[in-house]
Amino acid sequence: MSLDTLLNIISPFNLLMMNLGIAAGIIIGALPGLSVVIAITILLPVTFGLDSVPGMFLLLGAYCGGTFGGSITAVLINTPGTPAAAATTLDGYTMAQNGRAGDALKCALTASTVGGILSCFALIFIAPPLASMALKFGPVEYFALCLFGLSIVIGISGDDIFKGLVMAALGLFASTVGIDSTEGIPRFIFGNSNLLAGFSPAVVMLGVFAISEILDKSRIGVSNGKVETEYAKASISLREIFSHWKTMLWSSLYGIFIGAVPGTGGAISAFFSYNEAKRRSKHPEKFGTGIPEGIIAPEAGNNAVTGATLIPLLTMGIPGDTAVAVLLGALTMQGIVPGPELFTSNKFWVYSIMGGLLLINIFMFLQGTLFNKAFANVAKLPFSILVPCIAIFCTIGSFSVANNFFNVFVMLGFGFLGYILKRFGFPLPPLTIALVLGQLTENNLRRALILSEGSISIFFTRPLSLVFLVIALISLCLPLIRKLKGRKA
Amino acid sequence: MELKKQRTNFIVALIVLVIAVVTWGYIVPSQIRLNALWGGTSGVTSRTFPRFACGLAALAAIGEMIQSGLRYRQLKKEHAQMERVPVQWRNELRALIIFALCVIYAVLFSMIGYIAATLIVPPIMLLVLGNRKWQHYVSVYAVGAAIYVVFVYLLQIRLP
Repeated sequence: MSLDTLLNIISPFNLLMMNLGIAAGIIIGALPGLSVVIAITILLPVTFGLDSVPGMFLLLGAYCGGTFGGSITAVLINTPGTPAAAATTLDGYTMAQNGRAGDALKCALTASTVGGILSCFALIFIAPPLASMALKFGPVEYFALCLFGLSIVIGISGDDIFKGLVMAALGLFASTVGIDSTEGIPRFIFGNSNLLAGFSPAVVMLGVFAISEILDKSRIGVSNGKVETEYAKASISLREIFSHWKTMLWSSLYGIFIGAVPGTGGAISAFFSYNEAKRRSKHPEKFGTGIPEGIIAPEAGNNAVTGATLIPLLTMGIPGDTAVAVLLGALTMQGIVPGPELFTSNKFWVYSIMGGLLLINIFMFLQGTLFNKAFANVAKLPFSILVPCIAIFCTIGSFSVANNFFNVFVMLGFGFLGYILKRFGFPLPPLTIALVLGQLTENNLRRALILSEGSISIFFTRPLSLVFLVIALISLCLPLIRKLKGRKA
Repeated sequence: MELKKQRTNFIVALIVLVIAVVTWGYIVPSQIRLNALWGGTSGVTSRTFPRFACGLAALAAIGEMIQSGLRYRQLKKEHAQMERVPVQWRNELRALIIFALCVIYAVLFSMIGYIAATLIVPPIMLLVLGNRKWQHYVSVYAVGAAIYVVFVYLLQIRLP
């Protein structure tokens, strides 16, 4: 990392963006029902007017802050602010009930920071060699890799694999609207010139994640506001927390490994880390009674995902989870194409992002230590206030993508579609990930088929492509087999 | 409940199948013209990928129909009863009103501008959601003002 990169990272404006992102992420993450994805999606429009580096710092801050923020409500009201914090409720809430809410939050914050920093080091050391390996990929391998990424997202996004497939197909189809980048032919524009540029992923995400969420919450009538356990000042020392360094280290490693696999995420990592910590513990019976290890394990595990999910994104352009798919949408808007070439053509940008992520985790610790009590009060905010605020943000955000009103109505259309599809049990992540991966998938499919003169056997004769396709098939079939077995039992 | 869910899944999958078939057979050819100079012997055109997506959707819909059909038959054999779950019309209506207000906000935003639209619609949303505290109305206006400052003065985006 050169001195220029370092000076760029620590410029006052970049530091401000990191801190704003972290604060916004913690606040949104702490609101029950609003996930990290919504935190990043809501901040997405703000990045349109910024350079790519501060814009990414804002979103990465929200990503890390939101992942930690979910643990605040998990501890105080036994309701995880984000799915990734669900495992934290097991010991966090019990500890808070024992009058140690501050201790629980301090454990969560410290473990989240350590997990995040280790994950960042994994990104720094693993991404460059992986990128140089990915440089050797041809269109055949890339197409198979895209299908692999999609299949994993479909496989874990619900118990009904067919619904996930329908959503992925819808996302791939939506990505074809507009001018075909290969032949220059307009597709599905229905005489409307606004559609020539296609659907902006940012606009679709604002609708699918934010608008559908406020409609869903308005229907259910969620009311926050009742904090069951009051915040109590932390008395646990850092030395005491770090006495569980083995749990912290192992959980971070699990998080890094799980996060680097496309399609996984913080929730899986948190539960896996919690179970492993319990299994390795000398006193597993104490888990669930409010012990620090029961908070440290899931929190280190879920925040260790944040840097690791960037590995497939930066090296191959494949989003590791839904939150990273939104980051990919932001990068696309900034004209940055993630992939192995980024490591040769735009090294400065890549290392700025890596260094920035490291700083973000340190700032998250500082903000959490100084303002934990204030963040804890966010859980008292009624959801009804958020509905108009999110509606305003989404409207102005979708307008600012291209300064036209058409995008506002596209956002509302996708919002309503997302709401209806969610009601019928269709998972939303495959739609957005397929939308951002659509063009990459199509371009590589077409190039590969032109190479093979239309024969699909090319995908099965290349070893790496075959491996990706076999894993994709297994990840799609496993849930079905498990379901059938479950029924027979 | 489970019986009704399987029936709904079957119907929704059937609708997806019909849409996929119509898109494959009618919408794709009518909306994408073929470039005779492109593709050569590979047969790959601008229509290939949209049809790949349609085919994937159709196959998934067939899979869903088979799965829900089999489950429905199994449940029938087990003499499961079709439970009538009363629809909470009030809740459904609340979500629809909020959506309608979002659309109205977007229309007003384009016609009378951001400030006027923000003064009118968000308080109605709070009212529909049953919030009567005046402090919350002030908070929403404060957020609206903050968003305006961020977008117009910091990000230099011209709003109507």
